[in-house]
Amino acid sequence: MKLKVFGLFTLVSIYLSPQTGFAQKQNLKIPKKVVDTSRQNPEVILTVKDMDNLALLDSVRIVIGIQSKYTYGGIAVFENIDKDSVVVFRKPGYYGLVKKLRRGTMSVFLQKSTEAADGSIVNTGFYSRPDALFSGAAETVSGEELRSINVLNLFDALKYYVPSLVVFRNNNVGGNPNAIPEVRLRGTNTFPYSATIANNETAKFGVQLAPSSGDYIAANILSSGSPVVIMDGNQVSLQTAMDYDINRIHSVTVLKDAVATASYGMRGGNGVIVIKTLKPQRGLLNVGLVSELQIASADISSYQVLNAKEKLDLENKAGLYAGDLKPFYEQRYDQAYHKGVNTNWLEIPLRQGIGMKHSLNLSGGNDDMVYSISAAYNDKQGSMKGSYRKTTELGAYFGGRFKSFSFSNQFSYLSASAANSAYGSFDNYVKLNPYWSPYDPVTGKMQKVLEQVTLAGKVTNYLNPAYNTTLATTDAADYSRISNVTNMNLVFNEKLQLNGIIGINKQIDELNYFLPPNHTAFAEVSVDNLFTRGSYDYTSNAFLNVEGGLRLQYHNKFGQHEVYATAGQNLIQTSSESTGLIVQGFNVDRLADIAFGVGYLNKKPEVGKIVTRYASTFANFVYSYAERYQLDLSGANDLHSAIGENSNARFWAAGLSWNAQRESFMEQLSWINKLKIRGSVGLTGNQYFLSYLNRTTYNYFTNQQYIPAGNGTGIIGRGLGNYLTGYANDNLQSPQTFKQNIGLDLAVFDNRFALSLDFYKQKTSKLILPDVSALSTGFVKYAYYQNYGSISNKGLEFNAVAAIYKSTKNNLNWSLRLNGMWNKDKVTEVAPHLLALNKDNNITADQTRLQHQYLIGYSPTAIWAVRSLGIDPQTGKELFQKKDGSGTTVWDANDKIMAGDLLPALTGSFGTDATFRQFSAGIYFSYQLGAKVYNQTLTDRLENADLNYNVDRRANSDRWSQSGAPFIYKPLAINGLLNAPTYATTRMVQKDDRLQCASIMLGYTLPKMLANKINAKNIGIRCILNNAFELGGAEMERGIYYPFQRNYTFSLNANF
Amino acid sequence: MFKISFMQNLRIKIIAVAGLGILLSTASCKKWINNTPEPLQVDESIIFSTEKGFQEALTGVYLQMGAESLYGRDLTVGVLSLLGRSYDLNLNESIGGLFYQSARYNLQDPSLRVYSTKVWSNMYQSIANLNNLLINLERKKNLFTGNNYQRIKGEALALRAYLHFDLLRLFAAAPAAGTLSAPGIPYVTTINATNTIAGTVGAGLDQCEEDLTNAESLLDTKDITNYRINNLIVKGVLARLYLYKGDYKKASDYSNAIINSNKLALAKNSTDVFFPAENMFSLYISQAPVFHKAVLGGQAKLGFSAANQTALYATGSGVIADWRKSFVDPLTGLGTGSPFMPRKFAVLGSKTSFPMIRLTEMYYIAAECAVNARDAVTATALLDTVRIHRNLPKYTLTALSTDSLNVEIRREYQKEFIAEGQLFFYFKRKNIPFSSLPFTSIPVDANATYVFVKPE
Repeated sequence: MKLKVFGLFTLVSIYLSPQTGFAQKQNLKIPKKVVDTSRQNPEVILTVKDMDNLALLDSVRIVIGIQSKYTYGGIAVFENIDKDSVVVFRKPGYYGLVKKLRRGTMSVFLQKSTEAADGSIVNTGFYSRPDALFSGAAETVSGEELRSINVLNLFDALKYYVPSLVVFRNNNVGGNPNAIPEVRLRGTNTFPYSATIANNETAKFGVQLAPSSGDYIAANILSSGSPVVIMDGNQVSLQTAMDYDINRIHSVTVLKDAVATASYGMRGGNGVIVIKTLKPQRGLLNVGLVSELQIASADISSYQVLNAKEKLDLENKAGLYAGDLKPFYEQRYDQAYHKGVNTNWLEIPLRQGIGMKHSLNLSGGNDDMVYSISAAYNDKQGSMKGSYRKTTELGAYFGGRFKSFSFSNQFSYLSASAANSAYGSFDNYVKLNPYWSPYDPVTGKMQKVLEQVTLAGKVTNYLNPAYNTTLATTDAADYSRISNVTNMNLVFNEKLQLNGIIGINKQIDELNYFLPPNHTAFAEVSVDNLFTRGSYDYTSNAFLNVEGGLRLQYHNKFGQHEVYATAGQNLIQTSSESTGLIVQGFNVDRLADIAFGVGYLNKKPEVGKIVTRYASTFANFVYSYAERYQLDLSGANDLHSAIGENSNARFWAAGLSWNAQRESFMEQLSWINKLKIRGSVGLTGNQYFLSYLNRTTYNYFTNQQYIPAGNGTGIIGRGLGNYLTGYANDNLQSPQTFKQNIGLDLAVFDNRFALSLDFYKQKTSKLILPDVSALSTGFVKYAYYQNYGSISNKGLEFNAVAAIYKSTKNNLNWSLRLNGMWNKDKVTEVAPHLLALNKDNNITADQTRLQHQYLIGYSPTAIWAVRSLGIDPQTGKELFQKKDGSGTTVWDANDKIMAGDLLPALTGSFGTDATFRQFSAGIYFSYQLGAKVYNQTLTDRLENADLNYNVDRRANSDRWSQSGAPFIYKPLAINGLLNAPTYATTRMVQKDDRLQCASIMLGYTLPKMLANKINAKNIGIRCILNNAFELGGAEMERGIYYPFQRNYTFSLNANF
Repeated sequence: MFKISFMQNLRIKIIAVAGLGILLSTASCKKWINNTPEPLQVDESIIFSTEKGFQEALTGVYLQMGAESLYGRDLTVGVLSLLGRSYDLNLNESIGGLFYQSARYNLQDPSLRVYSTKVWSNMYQSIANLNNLLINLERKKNLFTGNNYQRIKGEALALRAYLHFDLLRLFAAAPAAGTLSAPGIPYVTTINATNTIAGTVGAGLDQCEEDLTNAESLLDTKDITNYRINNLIVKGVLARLYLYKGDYKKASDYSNAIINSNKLALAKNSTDVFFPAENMFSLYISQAPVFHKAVLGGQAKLGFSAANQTALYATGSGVIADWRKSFVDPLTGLGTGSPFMPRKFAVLGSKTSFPMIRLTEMYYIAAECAVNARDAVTATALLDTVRIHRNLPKYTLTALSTDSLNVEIRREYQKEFIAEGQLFFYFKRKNIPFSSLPFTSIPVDANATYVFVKPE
């Protein structure tokens, strides 16, 4: 009990320093009475500030004996107080504080009992500023808000609140629980990695091959437009953030414009996502428990395949059996019609993935120390059999305080064990003919060969990919990660603080990929090479990230003037290494260990090692006049191991904001609660490009030496020779993004309706692309890169929230949200390398799918296809329009036109939620408009399809024929690709406007009375359905290698 | 009280200013950043921190020159010997596009274009290595002991010229076929990503000459180590260059200087038909056994037919006893079986050094210059000197006619340098019509040319 009382009154921090500042001067007018100064203080001035951001706190109730006052402007003045009396400070939302009065002036800091996650304080990771004084564009979403949308995927949840955060749904990887999404903030500002990489051997020196999933440097180089993710002060990869227990997330702040990101210097260009995790709650012992049941079910509604009889009819109609295949018709007819075989291959690799999650958190503490211990286990099962991702997390937090010095240490262990389905890729099943049975008719076991076709002595085996699951096929990735973050804080006085942070993160990954000798991949291996069958691919890698930072925080208020300033420095070093090897030649399917192989496939293991160092010095200064006019200045001077010796990386930002509602002329418009206009401009960078481009390097000939006969063969190293492997670009600069932003925040009618509008323009230039140099420079083998090219984005972001009904009675609330982003990306400068790539993409690349063209004035994600004039009703051939306007039947890549953009012009979300008594419910949608898609299903699985495999249902109808019947598609052919291939044509470009029901949520909280009966603070249950349904969009197969899935989550949340 | 507070405030201010000072100091950070390790490569600053590193960088270039596409195979026994008419057997498509089209002088063929690109790119990469070496050499001049600075610089300059000269002889028209103002090749003396503009043939030759003369003045005349560039080799290359350019006076001076220096002596026996003692520049090629087998054994199995062996070595002024008329079966190394491989390669796969310049070439250059100066006596005497050391009798006349001398010199080139790659350069220098090329067992392509296709 005593401890409980202690818990209520928590000492935060105190530093007694004589106040000679403005506080005294302001109060000079107060008349003084004659008092006994030996026993009493004639005047006591108390200053109260917020611990985190040093803001002066108003409305703090201060009680001394029988006197009680509230602070105004952070100050309260008492008179004639006995020395050594006890002062009690209280403010809702803050920990209470009891202090003994020692002098006439005293400043105290109060700490928030629950850290605000409502956006009233913007935490940029380096410093916090009150939202009212912040001129940047940032958005804060609380953990609770995220969890009410989606508890399975942090970024899918975040995207609902932040429309400018685009999370790409890769149509190939679908709902694979082990896939990482591509995340972009405010458009695409880099070219894809594949387009920026030189095609030579030394290009790989600068990026880790098979990197650790925690290696955020490598991950960001491979996807260089990704925003930076900072978790509790340390940068992490998207994968780490996604594996982290979402129940432990306190809030996520998305920093968007120049003012918000300039302190991040070279890291700021793509935007920053700052994740804060929950800190311990004070008290004797708080127990938090979350249990979830997760069901993943595949959504294959986009798949329309033929059944056995239909397929056989189609084959017959196409003339497959006109020739030598005739005998097989009877065989297949017998299967389909007499034996009734009609295998639904789509179902074979699928299941209901039933997973679960348990998360436990214990915390407690008092004024001087706090602690917490947490543990979580998440078993995410995918909808394909045997595909899962299991994560285990253990955390320990310890915080303490000694006078003006406080510290905290956060240790966490995270491990993941992931596996891909032994069934392999989903598309292997989609194409199998339904008249084949996966099971041997005699033994009933899974058969390897579905059908054997021998034509003119040539044997074709149609293999059963499901057979591989009967073997020890392995495709697994595991890692363990240890991270320790120490924060230190030294308070000099109420104006000045020094923060320090040290973080160490170490992750070790292991990848095991084993294909047993009888795997279908080796079915065609000849008898001579029998002992080369089976392969084991083993990769082990490690990542170590060490960060240190020091920040000086200053805050002061002189009358109407208020100043915030922060200056600091961060030092970061990452070391990444990986070793991979492949062993081949296995004889036993069951022995899934590298030890049983015959020998290495390659002579030596593949090794990668990369170290990066980064030092950033930054400063931010905010000046506010009467909380009305704000000026916000930031600057960063960065040093980075990947930029050239002769170049520097300096970034800056300037912002202005105006809180119009505080103007006197707005007084009568009291229904306006907030009207803020802000603008910012600045330059930020991008550090995610290949390392070592600024190095001239050599390597040694290790397989030969220059030892002419009779010249001392025995002397090792005498004939050692080295050769250039890379030539430095000493002038290489960081890519830079010039950002402009104008925003408006409006809240009216008692904050019931809130609207934020942001118009932004960004231009990223000096992108790093390979230089196209003549062979005679000798540079062809070297990864020689230059700053070239630029991409600009402009857009409008809006976010409207309406609390339509708010009532404490019956807890009846109803709110609506609508947000969106209109965005346009444009290439504004190309490089010689990109022009060469454009040419290549039109000549050598596979034209049955889309190939990028990077041209000035067009989006980097534009769709390029030849304009189709439709199918000629006379001949059944496709007619194209050439660039000069004339018609032709000959497809030519040079006639390609821009036929739309893969990315939507407008994306966003809308949704509504309501609470009534103990119940809550919500439904949330995401939409996209103006996107186009290339209907790959119509090409690959219809017009270009090989009829030896199953095809899309539409292949059976609407085909052109001599009969003159209505048609949509080219004439039926046994193998469309060989017969008359359909290359990139506008005929296959379709609208992809979609509406997706992202989440449906239902919740119930146990009444307090009931909860208290079982000694619980609160107990709630919730059920969420993610990706419930989708409307609109092109009719094409979605989730090619892995189907998309619906996720049902039932969770129980209890706090004791 | 006031004083204390003043002191405290001052203390805070000092801490704050000092703190900021530390924060904003970038000098120490800069050092930390610059020392970022690159575990899998060696930084230039480490390579060029010792004398040994410079030597290794130079040795690296010699190793690069031994590549398959360069002197390891195709600029010696491979492509250039096919072009040089050293083989007349097995010339069919089964030997691969590169060799077959080489035999047809079809330098426009895709396989030869691919090869040209390879040569061009590999040679220029070696040149880039040399240029970077030379740039660092000047920066680290104080590092060197003895005459190592002069030696390494001389070798590097000479190699740069040697490679450029061969590029010029491959990728530009011979002065005999056109003029010195015909388009040449880029002569690259710097290292950066910007292209060096290709000059004329004349300009290229002048630049080679400049580098070689500089090298000549740097390299010690006493050093005759022949597996790397020495003073004598530089002189030899200069003699070769002047003759190619048509400067007979200087060619004569340099070739005679080498002959008269008596640093090398002509062979006295035929133990090794490469005559190693005459070898001025012998390149060590660690993979030579593999390369030689690929051309002379293996699938290609190129060889020189018995009939033509007699035609070349015995007919006319020759005799059967000529040491060089010694051919063996590549499989056995014996004169029985299918003796179509020059014995200098026997036992096939045992030779790891290859002659790049031989003393006899100096005799032939001197002789050709003498012919040009209408000094038939000297020319005949020079040829006779070589003949004696090849187990041949002297010519019956002490002064052959100019025509005979020209024929004899050409035959000597053919006999002496069979399968060494030099013959192509001889044919090209003389601009011999394709119709008059010897030992044409398969027809020359209609688009035949002496100029390899430049990839840029």
